[in-house]
Amino acid sequence: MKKVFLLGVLAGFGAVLAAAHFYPWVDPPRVASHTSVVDKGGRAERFLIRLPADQVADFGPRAVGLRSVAGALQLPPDLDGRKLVLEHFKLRDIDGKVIGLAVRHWTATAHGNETAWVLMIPGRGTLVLAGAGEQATALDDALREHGYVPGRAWSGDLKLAMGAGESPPLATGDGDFAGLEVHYTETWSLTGVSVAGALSGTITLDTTSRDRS
Amino acid sequence: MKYVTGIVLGIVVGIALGAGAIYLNPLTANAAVAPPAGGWTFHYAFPQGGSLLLTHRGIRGLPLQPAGVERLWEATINDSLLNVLVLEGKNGAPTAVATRLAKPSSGTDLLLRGAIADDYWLVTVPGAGSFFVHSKDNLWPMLKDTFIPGLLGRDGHGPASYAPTVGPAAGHLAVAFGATGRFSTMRGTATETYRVDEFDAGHGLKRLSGDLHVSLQPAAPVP
Repeated sequence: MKKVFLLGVLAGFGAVLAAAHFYPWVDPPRVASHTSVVDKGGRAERFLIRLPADQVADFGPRAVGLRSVAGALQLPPDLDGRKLVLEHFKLRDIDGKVIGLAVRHWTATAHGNETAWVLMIPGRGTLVLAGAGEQATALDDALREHGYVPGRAWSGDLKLAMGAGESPPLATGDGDFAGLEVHYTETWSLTGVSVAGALSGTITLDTTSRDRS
Repeated sequence: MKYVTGIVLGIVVGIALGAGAIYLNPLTANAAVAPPAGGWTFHYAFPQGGSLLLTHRGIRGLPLQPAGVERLWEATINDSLLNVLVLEGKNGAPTAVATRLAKPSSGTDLLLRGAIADDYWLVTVPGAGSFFVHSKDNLWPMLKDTFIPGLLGRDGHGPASYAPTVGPAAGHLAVAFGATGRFSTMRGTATETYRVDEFDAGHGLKRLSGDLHVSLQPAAPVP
């Protein structure tokens, strides 16, 4: 009886330790990459952000226009007057399925306006992109040229190239994106603005990646 | 019959002993690591005072900020967390803003390494540029002092300090590299330390203060 009891203790103890070590505690859903081969090698992939559905939260001072109006949250007073826009989105693949999160930080620097993106796709990895940023009021200026009047609803079809760049020279990210050199372009296709200033449309990130080697 | 009873009782006792061993396992405790020399230290308060935004699927004990913010409910991101923090410099004034994305890491091993999370920081210093930090954090020591007692209806221990950074660079350091502005050609390491000042079973995490230590040096681009 005693031996059987001790055998049970050993079995239970061993099972818990084995589970702690071998059980796949974290197993994110794998998402397919929709890539296509491009000329001269490399892979192209498109990511989408639907506005306003994918907006999680934005922060920006009034000076940057519409993007600081609808849904924008307040920066602390010490930072509010600075040229800084933070945008946070859900990220979709080309089929429209949410696959991750996207962060966009825009700021004016000594090198001009610059934008940094982080795309985190839990099932694949994380990608960092950086490039030239748009003028602070680029979006508002383009909308006005297409007939938008502040305070009124607008609908139409506006395509605006908001930036382009590449993965930073020192690193790219991790997972599927580690060791890649990634170039991107960012296009905002707007179809509407509500009376409150909420944007409707799609942000398209077109990426082309190659091995750094 | 008595043999069956004996082995079942033995298994139950063995499972209890195993769970206790995992809970007290010294292999999953964090070693204190000295911050990288010669860098910057950014201080933050969480969730009150420095956190502007916090969203996730609705984790108990971690209140969403602001109330009504979009939750991360989709299956592909419902283990993720998004947090925006105001970072203070040495003088206590806000000097930077960070967006922090976190997700559980497949490196989690409750026997040898702990509960590992991938923690990605995009830090922007207005007017200067942005840099990126990737840290692998072992959250197990903090979880077993706070959230696990919270699940059992008990207030957490505290205050207690933690040094969660365990990688991905050698020596329990996070990797950091520049993205834009003056940081764009810089590379280095980082660590994070934080102190949980208040955690109670009813309200969850009420007060935490943390420091992100970053050391960046000019570096040649990868050829």
